[in-house]
Amino acid sequence: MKKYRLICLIVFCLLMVKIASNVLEFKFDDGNNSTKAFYELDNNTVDILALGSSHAFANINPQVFWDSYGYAAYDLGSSFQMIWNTYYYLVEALKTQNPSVIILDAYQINCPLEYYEDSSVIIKSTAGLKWSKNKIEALFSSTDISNVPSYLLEYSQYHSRYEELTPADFLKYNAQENVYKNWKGFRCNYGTTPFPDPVADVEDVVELPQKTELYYRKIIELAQSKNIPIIVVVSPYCVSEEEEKGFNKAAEIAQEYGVDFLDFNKFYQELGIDYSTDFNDVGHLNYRGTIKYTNYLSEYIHLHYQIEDKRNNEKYTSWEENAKYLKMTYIEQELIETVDERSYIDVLNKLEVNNYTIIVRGQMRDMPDYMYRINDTLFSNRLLTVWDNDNYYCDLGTNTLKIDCSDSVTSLYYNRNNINKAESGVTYFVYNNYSEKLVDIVGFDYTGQDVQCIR
Amino acid sequence: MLFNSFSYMIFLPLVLLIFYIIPKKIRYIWILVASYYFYMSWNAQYALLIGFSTIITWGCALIVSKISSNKEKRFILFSCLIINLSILVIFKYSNFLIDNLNYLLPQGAQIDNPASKLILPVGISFYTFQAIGYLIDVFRGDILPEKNILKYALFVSFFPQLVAGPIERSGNLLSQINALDQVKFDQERIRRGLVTMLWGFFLKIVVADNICIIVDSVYDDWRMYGSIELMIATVAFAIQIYCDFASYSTIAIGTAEMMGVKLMENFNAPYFATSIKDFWRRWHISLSSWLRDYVYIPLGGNRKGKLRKQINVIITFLISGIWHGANWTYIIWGGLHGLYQVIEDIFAPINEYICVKFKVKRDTFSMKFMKVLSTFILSDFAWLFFRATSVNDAMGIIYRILTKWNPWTLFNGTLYTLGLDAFKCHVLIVAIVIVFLVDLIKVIKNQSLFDFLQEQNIWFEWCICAMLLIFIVVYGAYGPSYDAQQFIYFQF
Repeated sequence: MKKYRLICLIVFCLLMVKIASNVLEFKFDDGNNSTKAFYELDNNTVDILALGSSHAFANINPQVFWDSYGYAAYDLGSSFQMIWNTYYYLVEALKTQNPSVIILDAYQINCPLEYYEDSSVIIKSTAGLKWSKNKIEALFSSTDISNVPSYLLEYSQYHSRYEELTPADFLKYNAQENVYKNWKGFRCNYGTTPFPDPVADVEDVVELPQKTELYYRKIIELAQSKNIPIIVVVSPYCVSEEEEKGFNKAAEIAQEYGVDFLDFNKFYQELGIDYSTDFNDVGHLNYRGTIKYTNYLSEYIHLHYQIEDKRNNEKYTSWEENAKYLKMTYIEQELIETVDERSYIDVLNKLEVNNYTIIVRGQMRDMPDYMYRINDTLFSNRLLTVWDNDNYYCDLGTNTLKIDCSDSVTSLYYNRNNINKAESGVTYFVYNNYSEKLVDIVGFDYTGQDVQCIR
Repeated sequence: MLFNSFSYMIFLPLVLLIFYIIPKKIRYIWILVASYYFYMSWNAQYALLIGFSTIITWGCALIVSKISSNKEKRFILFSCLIINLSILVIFKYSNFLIDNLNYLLPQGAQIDNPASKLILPVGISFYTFQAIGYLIDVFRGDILPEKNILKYALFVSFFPQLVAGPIERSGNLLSQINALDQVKFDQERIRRGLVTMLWGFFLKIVVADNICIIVDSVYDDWRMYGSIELMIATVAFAIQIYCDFASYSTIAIGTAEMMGVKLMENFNAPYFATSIKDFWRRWHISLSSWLRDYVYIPLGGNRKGKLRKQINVIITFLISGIWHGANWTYIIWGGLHGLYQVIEDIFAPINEYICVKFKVKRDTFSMKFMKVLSTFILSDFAWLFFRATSVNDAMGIIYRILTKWNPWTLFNGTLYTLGLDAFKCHVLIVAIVIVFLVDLIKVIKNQSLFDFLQEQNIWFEWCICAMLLIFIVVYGAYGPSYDAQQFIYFQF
């Protein structure tokens, strides 16, 4: 026993440090978590692999691929991802997957930097990778050699996060098991910001920065060496003329290899994309836009390539679950944007109420017939629930809900905060049990002449 | 009147002043008057009840000491016990008994409790036990009965310890009452009493009443909290009940000291105990020694074999549990403590074997620390039942502690939303550290705070006293924004 004592001591200490680092390490969705989820996929299940920066993982929607032709798509990207990091991601991905098609979003091809300055971006682009020769090469290529040690010893980057810990740091699957277990790397944006149409009918070309061109070619060559067809895309966004010239050059390079290049800034109208309604911000489509965009890609792939429909395949249930979840979020977004009480009830009726906890507090002015259907499901599909004296308790994921009926005015407490929105009127509380997320709390107040919507 | 009230601040100096001015021979009468006044300030009518108990036990003690026949002696003793205990049961346990009976009976046959409207007289559990103790002592021939009824009445109603202990023994208190006329005014004695009271007020007003806020917020709405908050509130309750209860005894001891009466020690750094058995030598010492002498030993103690000993222990602690309150939660609390001790006893030889086999070093800090920590955890688990308002609630809390694991609340500031904000929490932690240190001094040097301060230089004594006073005055939970937190043990 004595001779193992030193080793045991060291192992024990390192184990404690490892546990601490599991809690403290960065849990970025856009990079670390999506790579982690990718590793958890069964080998050789991905049909369509989408690579690139946020223009890839925020615009290419796996739900649309799945529901249109049963394609299993995965978005493997990270924010601001540099082309060289995309190359190393492809190398990594090909270790365990053999996709039928690769989609590369070429947004960052114009970036003139040797290294990206923001360390969080470098972390998002590398920390998710498992330790391997590939990861080390990626690190050396991502940053100046003097900085490499601080990325090799990842602990130095995240140890001070102890002030910002959240349930996601402690619970498996970021405290949203159903969502993260089935996640396919897609980060949907739901906002709407209107933008003017882009000016993209530019024919000129401009030379690409040396480093991005080098790795761009490497990506295409790697794909072709494995006989995997690759489509290079530029997803629609508020592009500038200079950037367009760079994309034109990239199109030329693609042609050299016989690879398809689709610059959607040039023909977004064909997809029905409207810059005043389909964008979340300057760089990313919102959920409406991604549906139109991915529909086109799906048709394109269906036209050019033969990929088996996986919809009845038992191995692919997680793609089905993922699609189901995303479709829930579209209706939820509609709900959040509704300000009229009658319309609100209409949208509530669209929800699959078995997945939701819906509480309606207050006196509604009139009770349309269809409201009774929702009333029946209230309190009927909860998790652990209790009536105690005049209070009703419910645990919703890691959150607590209490309905306090002891006073003349019933109060709702969510995580011990009073969330009554409308004193004389109705408050709606909508919680998604499947994704363990609060969807909406809205009040319709009847004190004035008109019904006032309060969020 | 409460100790922590302005009335007491006027009452006490007045009583003491007159105590030292009036002729020594009638001192005990004055204190008796003051004691009844003190008691009647709670509820005047119940003075009749304590008076009745006093007269009955005094009379029976005299009779018992005069009779020679054993049979008749027993008869008088048991009649008196039954009368006194019946009073206690009617006022305290009738609702509990009837409720449980109704639970077993079918719907149609439910019984009403005619005594349901009775308020629990303050201190009834304490003075009843004290009187019974005296009676049994006389019965056993340990002391001679007190012929002077007024002196005996003072023994039962002595105001410092009347309402929440220490439960005194006739041997200790009665003899000191008889010696009241010999007490000389002594400056050091007054100082000792004052510093002791100061410490008591610190425990109550600064620590117990503030930490109470956290415990109540969490326990009163426990379904809204997760594992970490519930565990913290349970530990906080262990601190609360100790500081609350010890504060009362401390103030009682300090008050009595100023009259030249030494009450028995009731708490001796209980959370430094190294086993549950040791815990009960340090916690509510007056009650546990009372139960030992008047319940455990009459049952046979450990003189009737091993199995009988364990049974006796369990019975004694179940009684301790029910003495604390008319609720199954108290019975479970008592039963747990009994069970702990039985298990400790049974496992003692196994522990011995393991220590020898694995060459565990027993005379070390690490071993002692382990024992103290595990004893605290065991007693805290029992405290969970003590604080919960019903067995259902207690089980619900345990369930949530085991399943609603939420460590992020340690990092995101949730702990400052339990009733005390960040600053108040920090002050409270400092105050708890001070309590810990004073108890540590008790454990290491076996000195009370006053004795320890006497050993130091004057400036240190003054600074500590001033600091305690400032803590009380500034951070104490009193004034319009708080309501005077009743001493927890008053409901007993």
